[in-house]
Amino acid sequence: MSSPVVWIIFPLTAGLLAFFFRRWEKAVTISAIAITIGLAWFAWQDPIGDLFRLGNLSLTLDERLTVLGRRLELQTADTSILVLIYLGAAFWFGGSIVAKTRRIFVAVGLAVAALLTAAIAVEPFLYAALLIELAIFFCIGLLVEPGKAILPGVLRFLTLQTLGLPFILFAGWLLAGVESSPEDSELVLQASLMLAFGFSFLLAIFPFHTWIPMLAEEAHPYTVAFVCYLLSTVIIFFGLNFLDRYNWLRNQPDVSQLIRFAGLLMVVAGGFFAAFQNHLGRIMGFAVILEIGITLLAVGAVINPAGSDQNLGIMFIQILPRGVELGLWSLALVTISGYGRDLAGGADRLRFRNIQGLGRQLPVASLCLVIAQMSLVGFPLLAGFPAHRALWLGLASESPILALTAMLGYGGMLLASLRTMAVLVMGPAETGWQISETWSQTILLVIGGIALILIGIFPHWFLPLMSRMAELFPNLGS
Amino acid sequence: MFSGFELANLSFAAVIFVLVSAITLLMSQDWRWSIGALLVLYLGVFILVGMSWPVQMALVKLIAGWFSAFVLAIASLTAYRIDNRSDRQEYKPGGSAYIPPSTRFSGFLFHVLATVLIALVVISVMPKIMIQFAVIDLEQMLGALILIGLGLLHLSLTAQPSRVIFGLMTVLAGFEIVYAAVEFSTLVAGLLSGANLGLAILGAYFISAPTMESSE
Repeated sequence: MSSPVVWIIFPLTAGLLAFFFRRWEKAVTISAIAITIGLAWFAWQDPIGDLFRLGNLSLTLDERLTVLGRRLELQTADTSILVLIYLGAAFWFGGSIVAKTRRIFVAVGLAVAALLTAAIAVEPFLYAALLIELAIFFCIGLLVEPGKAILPGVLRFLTLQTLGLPFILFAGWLLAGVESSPEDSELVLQASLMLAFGFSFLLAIFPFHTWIPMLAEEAHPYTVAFVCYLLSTVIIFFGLNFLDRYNWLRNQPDVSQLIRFAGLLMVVAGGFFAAFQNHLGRIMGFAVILEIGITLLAVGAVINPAGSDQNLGIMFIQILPRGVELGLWSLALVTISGYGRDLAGGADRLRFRNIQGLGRQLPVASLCLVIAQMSLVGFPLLAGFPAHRALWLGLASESPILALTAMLGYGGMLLASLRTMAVLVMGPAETGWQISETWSQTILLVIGGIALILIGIFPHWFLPLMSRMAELFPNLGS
Repeated sequence: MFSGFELANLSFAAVIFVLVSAITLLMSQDWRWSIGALLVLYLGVFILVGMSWPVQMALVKLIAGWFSAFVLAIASLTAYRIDNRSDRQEYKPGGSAYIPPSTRFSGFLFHVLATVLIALVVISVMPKIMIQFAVIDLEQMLGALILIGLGLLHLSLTAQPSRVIFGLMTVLAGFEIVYAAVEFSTLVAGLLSGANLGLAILGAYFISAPTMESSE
């Protein structure tokens, strides 16, 4: 028995079974939550390489599985990310019934989790690009609904992500050449450019970001948030692998500057465009862009050779709050869209003119939406604050101009949040306040809101565990 | 099976195959022509990849490519039959900004000129790229650049789901030719074939999803 069988083959098979039994939605979802929590718990026990006894049977969990001459390898160091992936999957599955996602959500979610785990396990690691591409295909199957026209955002998502694949694979080949002759500056430039383009496509870096707000406007908010969160997290891990393994790449000042510039561009563009949106889904899309930018700023600060004292933990402590924020945000959007005045098709339900005053009918969803938005911009006492504060301090100590420019993006998102609050509260007629959410919606939303407040007030309960993930990348100043 | 026979002897023919098929994919509005072009395209890719890989391994590209074409053919045929059913109400595919070139001479001319422009770009960058990547044969590079260029052109001119899939398959096929010259891993061959098949299955889903009945 090997660890890839447990955390890749098993969930993949479970996903296949979940697809065939999707008719029994609740039973399948509960089983999938149990399986993913079980896998996360098993990873938490750090069992790789240990001997197990099942009755008279003794089993050792090897770390390696060979497939077509290449290795899938999950080591002890990878257990923290396994916990993150499978606990994250359980969290998203938990909200899927209330969010009324498609019946195949859980099946596809299990397959995507397994493929993304395989992307982390595969050696040589650059083949991960292919596994991420396969995961994207599954996600697209989830975003396209039968009986409806294919959304332009889906096509753009597929196109831009697929175009990133050749760049990454070809960069991998060039990197092997750079390792053997690092003095060849032209080869170094080519490899760097290929990587830059590849990750620009994969991480939706400006100007390849357009699919995110399009999808967030057109598709199911919960599914979009799930896809964006899981993919961006794993692609960031994939990118960190490059930086961790290639010394020359890490030590080039231009690379750090490029990453920070891309991050800053994403933060400013995300915030600026969010401030002018009249659609709650699109605001969430731009929030995702802003979050990717924040992650890039954190990575850029860590590898900056000019001497930042930040470590990679700052990037990892964002992962947990971001997941809860996006989950809560999208669940609130699903709740609100169920009540939005549908004047011009499904996607328009979340347009400002159709949700005016809905906060009086849906106070829990509206409050949770605003809490999630505020947490995302690092509002004090909310989950996003500790990570954002650490990042702001690091940026300000390095370059006050950089920090101020980033603040413009945050300001834009804060403005979007205030506009959202105003639109939800100010209706055309003064109506009384009442709770119209269903019990299940209310319970999940309240749990999410409390989680964001708890993480914000007691960050030391949760965040040290996340920051320990930096140990996966020993060369990146963890 | 192929002892004594070198695929390299067919390399020039393969370049013609990929050129003709990529242009057909770009110009044709009839799904039957497009599927036929895909079959020819993957034959060309097989020959060009076979110059770097053992024939048995290159065959994987041909089989995966043809299988992808068959998947798309079945979906297109089904959609075609549904579209032509006498009792069916008119179906308008949403979101397409594509103007069929056959309907307008200016559109056709635009496609021809754009294709010529791509050809000129390919010819002009070929010498520099050949110096940079000496491990790749001239015919392989030519075939790959034609496919990548015309595939990107195809993607930039359409918003129709099935045609986006054709464009992506064209670009990926071009990349696979170049990548085969530098990477010999069986796993990569398998995963790239998987990506091709995945695209075809998505394409089939895109074709049939709007006419499917939602059970959710």
